[in-house]
Amino acid sequence: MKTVVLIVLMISLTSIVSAKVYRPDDHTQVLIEIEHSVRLQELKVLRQQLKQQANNQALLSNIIAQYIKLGREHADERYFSYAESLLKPYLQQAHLAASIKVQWADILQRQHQFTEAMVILNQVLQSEPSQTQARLMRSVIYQIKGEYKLAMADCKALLGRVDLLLSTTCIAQIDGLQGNLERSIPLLQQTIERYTNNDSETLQWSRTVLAEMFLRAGKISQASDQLDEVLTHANDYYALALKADILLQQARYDEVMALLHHHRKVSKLLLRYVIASNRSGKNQSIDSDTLSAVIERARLFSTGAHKRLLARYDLDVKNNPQLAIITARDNWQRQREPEDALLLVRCLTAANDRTGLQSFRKTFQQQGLRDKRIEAIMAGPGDE
Amino acid sequence: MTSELKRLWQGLAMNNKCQWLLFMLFMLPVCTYGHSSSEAYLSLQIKANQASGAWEFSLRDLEYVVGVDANGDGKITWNDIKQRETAIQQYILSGVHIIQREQACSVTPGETMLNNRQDTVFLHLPIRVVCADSIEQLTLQYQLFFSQDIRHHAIWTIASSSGSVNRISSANNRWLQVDLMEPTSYLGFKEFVSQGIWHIWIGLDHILFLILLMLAVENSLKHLQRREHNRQRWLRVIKTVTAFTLAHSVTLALATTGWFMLPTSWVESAIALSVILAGFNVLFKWVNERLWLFAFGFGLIHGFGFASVLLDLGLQKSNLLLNLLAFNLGVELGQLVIVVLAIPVIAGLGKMNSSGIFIRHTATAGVIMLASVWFVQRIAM
Repeated sequence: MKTVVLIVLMISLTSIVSAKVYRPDDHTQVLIEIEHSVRLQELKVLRQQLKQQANNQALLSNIIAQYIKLGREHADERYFSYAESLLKPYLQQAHLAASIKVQWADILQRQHQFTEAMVILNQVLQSEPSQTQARLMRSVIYQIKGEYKLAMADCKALLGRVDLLLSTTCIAQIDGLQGNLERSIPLLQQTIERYTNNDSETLQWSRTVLAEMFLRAGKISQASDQLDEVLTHANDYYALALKADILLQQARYDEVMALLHHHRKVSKLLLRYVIASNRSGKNQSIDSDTLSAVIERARLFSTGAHKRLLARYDLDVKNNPQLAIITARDNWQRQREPEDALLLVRCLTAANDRTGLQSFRKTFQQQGLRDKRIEAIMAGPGDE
Repeated sequence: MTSELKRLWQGLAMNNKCQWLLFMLFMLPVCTYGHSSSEAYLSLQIKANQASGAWEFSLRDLEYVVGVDANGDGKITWNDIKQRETAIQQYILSGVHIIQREQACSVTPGETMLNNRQDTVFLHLPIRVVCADSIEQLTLQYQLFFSQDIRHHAIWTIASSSGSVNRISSANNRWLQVDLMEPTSYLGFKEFVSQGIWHIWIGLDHILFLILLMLAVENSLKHLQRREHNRQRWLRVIKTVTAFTLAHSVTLALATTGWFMLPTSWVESAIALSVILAGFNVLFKWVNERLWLFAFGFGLIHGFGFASVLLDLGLQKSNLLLNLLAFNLGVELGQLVIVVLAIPVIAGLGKMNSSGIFIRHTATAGVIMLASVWFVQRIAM
């Protein structure tokens, strides 16, 4: 069956684009702009150096780090792929530095290959229990998988080894996920207050985590305030998505469109933009077409990293909860974050799938996750 | 903590120079991607020993690997492309090989053009391929971009008189074998037809509803002269089944195109209810002359049931009509087989007088009981 779907998708993918070939009249017209071309040129030089100094692991690590940073900044998965391609020949080396192995795990988990990433992290931590980066990453993967006790153990092991804000955020986040928001929110708030003069990205990350905790506690305005604070410092895509979701929930569609207008190159933000434009009746077909192409491509090539996007698209753009359930359920098997649970429960409610809801309730309770938004949907009729 | 880590963390706290670790953490629970994965699109239309087509590559990918930005200003113009055209074409031709029965075919590029795909620009290279023999078994060797981008994909469309085939080249699948003597262009279509057939055959509720309709047709013949039975039976069966088909085709189309949907639990319950009512109709002969209307009404509900199956198959917008047609065709074929098998049995029972009536009524009562269980189960879902 998978083969059939794949073939159907391939045909779709090749046919969704118009084949209007052309030669521009203006030969100086800019066709595309390469973001950070200088940095890319520098990286090209570094890659050449690496060819001559193949055993220089510090240089390799530096290049990988820069690609990961570029990928993160531009929400561009190609940079992770460039890093992965560069790493590939080194992976069989017996004496590969732990920090490079952690980078490898990082790239894998970005493709949602959590099991593979975990194998590497466990190996690293077995030989170097004090490898803080590996422990930090493992704690968050445990969190994504819904294994809160293991995640907490790794967070606690970070105490005293890393910056207090970082370890507190890690601990408060996991504690909050287990239903202890009453104590974890003030803990994180107080810690953040001690760092308010610090403009570091750690602080912005902590604020984003706090905003998510407020959302789970049902305190929407406080969550929104934290996100506004983050967004005054940086156009963080994750914070933008959270803020857009709050505005969508409040039917403030014009504000969503204004917020995301310049960030439509990022799939998850384009999705929210299209949802808002559809609901406000100001849909631009070019955005819908671009999103549709992105979705078809994601269905064809995704290793699992886009399941949440696909399910949300089927639910909120195609208004097809029955179809969305299939992907949302698959996504929930892979990752168990509150957003994944919220999405699945919204799909099940929209499809009036009572059996599915009952079964989800059991898993949700077993996991020990607490989230007011999800509990509200499960308690009564209606969804977002 | 090692001195190296200390330095890293101090760097994090003091300035923004050493941020990769933070970024790593920052992005962990977050997967925010652009529409940025790397693909190439290659097409070939084959005729005898020649092929023509166009190969398209993202300018962004070409810039990374070959270098298109001739003046290094970060902006790619047509002038840049013309300056680098030879290098680009050399790169492409060095990494894509077409082989027919172990003999490499010649590949000649045409004049470079552009094509806008989604939100970016692709280089469009017309291609002419000439092989020594008539092209029947192709080997496609694709090596471009993989050494720099391990997740790159090339999507091939190969068309010939016997149909068209789509294939994907990836880092783990650089050699593709295409046998043009075994066309697979309609595999998707065929598969959807067979899914339609399969669904009606495994859908006991649909089968029972159809059989009950046939039994009701048989009832409606009672007041006619026996010699008219055969002709009238087939006429009425065709009328009833056509009404059922039309109705479920309408709702199947409405649901799969997203125009109108009903919750699955409602649809499933209503289908069970339709079987119960069709059963009672056989026993009490409520509807005789306007059976087609009865079939049409409940056919609308059954269509929503078929739609949920079709949607589970991963239907896509651009192939929607074709797949819808294929699936519906499959349902009709499956239905036809059931009708053709059921009619002689039902007609035989009709000739058996009292024992035939007993068998019909007992079976119908059993079906009503079974459908009632389904109804209760589904309504409680």
